[in-house]
Amino acid sequence: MALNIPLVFLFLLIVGAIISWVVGRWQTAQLGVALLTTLILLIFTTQVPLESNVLALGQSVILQPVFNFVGRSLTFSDQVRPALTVLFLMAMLFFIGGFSIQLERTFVTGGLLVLMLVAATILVKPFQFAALFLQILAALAVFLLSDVVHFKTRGALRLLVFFTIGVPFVLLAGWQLEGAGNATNGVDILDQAALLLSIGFLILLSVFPFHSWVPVALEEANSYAAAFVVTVVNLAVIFVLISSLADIDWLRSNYIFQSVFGWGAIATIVISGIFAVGQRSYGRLMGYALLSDLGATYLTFTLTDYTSYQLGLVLLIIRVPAVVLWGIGIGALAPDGDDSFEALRGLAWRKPFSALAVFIGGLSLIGFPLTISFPVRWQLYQALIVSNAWGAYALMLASVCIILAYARGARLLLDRSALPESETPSDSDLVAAESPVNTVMCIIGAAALLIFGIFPQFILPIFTALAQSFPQLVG
Amino acid sequence: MELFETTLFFWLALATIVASGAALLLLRDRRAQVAIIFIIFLVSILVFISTLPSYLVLAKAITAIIVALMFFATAWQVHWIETPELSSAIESGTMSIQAVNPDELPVIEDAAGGQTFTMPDHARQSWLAAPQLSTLIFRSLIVVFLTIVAIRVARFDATASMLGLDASIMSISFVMIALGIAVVGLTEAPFRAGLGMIMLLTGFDLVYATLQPSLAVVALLAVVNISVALGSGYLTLVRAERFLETADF
Repeated sequence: MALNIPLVFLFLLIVGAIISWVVGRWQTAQLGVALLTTLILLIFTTQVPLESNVLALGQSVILQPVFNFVGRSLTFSDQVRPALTVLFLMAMLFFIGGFSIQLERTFVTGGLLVLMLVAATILVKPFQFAALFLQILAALAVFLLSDVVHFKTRGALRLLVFFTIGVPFVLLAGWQLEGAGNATNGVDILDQAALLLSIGFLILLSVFPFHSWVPVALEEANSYAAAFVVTVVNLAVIFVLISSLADIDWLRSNYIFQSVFGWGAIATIVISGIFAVGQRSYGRLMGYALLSDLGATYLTFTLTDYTSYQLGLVLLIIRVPAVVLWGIGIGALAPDGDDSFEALRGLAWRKPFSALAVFIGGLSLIGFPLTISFPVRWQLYQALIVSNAWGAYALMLASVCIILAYARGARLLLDRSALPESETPSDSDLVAAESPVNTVMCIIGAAALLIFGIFPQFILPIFTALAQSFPQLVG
Repeated sequence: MELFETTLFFWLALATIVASGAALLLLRDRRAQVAIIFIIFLVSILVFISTLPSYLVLAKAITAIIVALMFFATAWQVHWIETPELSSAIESGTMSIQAVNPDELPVIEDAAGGQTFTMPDHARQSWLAAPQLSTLIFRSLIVVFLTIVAIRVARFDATASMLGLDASIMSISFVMIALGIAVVGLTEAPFRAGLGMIMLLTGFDLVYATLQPSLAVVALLAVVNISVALGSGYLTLVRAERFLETADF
């Protein structure tokens, strides 16, 4: 009997999605199904041997790593193991966090289908066809970003529009690269391909001026679902970028790619900082903080040494717990979706642990001292100040702006005068408004981000090892 | 005879695409918008006949029919009304809204003048909301400008050497892409934006399917088209459902 490994991923995720839809009335059951599915796939990803016979249920099973379809293939190899591992770990964190807040029925089912498309994006060869899966992924993501409760559609629509515009650039670049080997004007074609690829990735990676869907989605949609979509979509595009960098080794040092990407990243960081400082809702503020962090990650891809690439990957991985913690906090603080500073005025006294989660998660994202991201940001600053000082200054400026915005938010959140006198809580009922599950998750999450920020030697080696396991970037 | 090689067909196809793009930008009637997407697909299929093997053309045609029917079904579900723009028009009073068949219709008020207007029970209202003259002129100029730029770019030597395709195909393709981008850039209504995206993708498809004439590419692009139609259709329904609730009709 033969077992096709790529099909196992797709099949299990589809089955998980169907079961989660069937049990959609019970959110806990839905999340349980999703968690189990991703856990099985995580174990499968890390343990499954390549091209060998294994004994299962008394039968010899041949494991096939390649699934061919009309001239293209989905290929499972040691190269894609780290990407799939990161993907499923990240998804598990989001699903665990989901237990503590109210989610729409579509989140888990849609989330599993989104994971299936990201897995397909990682597995497909050649890399340019991943762009088509990205487009389908964007179309599916709109189901997570909008529903009857969160009926505003600007963020979801912009995501779809930007991907529709960006994907053709990657496809055309891929076509050019395929033909470059036989062409007489090969160098010109490579430069054209680099330009097309750079533009395509700028659009897909939400680099300024194609960033606007991120803050809008985080403001309009369910915050947790939006945070999931932004994280997963960005992760998928970065994996495609990494895959293309592996396939096209010269692209890393191509001056067009370097300059377009470098200045695009800096522009994104600066704009995020400037816009963040004036925000009056936590969703939009998180959107700009995320963009600033994404810009930091992109900057590492313009540095030519391989250590910087790994730094970018660590940033990518370390962002997830911060985003999840923020999502748990804001989901509890603003269950009705209105996360404006004014609407949440004084709420820190009624939901202190959720408020703490929002701040620790948000500040960790921008590398605030004593949080988990700080050591990584510090390394990034050191690398940037040598090779791209403008990038370092931009990043610092954006971080200061975001901290100022959070400070303003904190002032309102802690405004005890906003509570009517009869509602002013005593010390004994401070936590009464928060569910026990939410409280526990907020405490564990915030403590983890702080403890590992103070003692990074316990966790950073693991993340670094995971980043180093991307063989495409070892050089 | 290769249909596409005739000059007459090229100019007819180009004129049809430009007129379709202009109509998408200017008309609010979803019946017209759905008809336009059928026309755009028809032109693209006629171009594909000259550039692709017949089995791929058949696949393209089936995809086109599915996508167009999806838009038809979406528009039918929301009673053909372009809700977001109509709602903002009602709020701001920037459009003139007139009643046609008052006896059958429930009543709402225009926020600007407080004047009472009537809305159809099936909400067949969008075609009554005519854009202002300035909007009409602005959008017409955009269509003219983008058409000229797209045709000019398609006829650059650099473009020809890069893609190696017939200038006529590239002209039609680039005009579709440019007008598709204009449509998605000038609206926040998911339905119209969806049509713009499909126009853009179809324009890109004209070039890409010729460069990569494989069944895998055609199949994946078909799924992409269908998913875009599905996504924009879903967003249209979500907005319409909310608007229909709040407008109480």
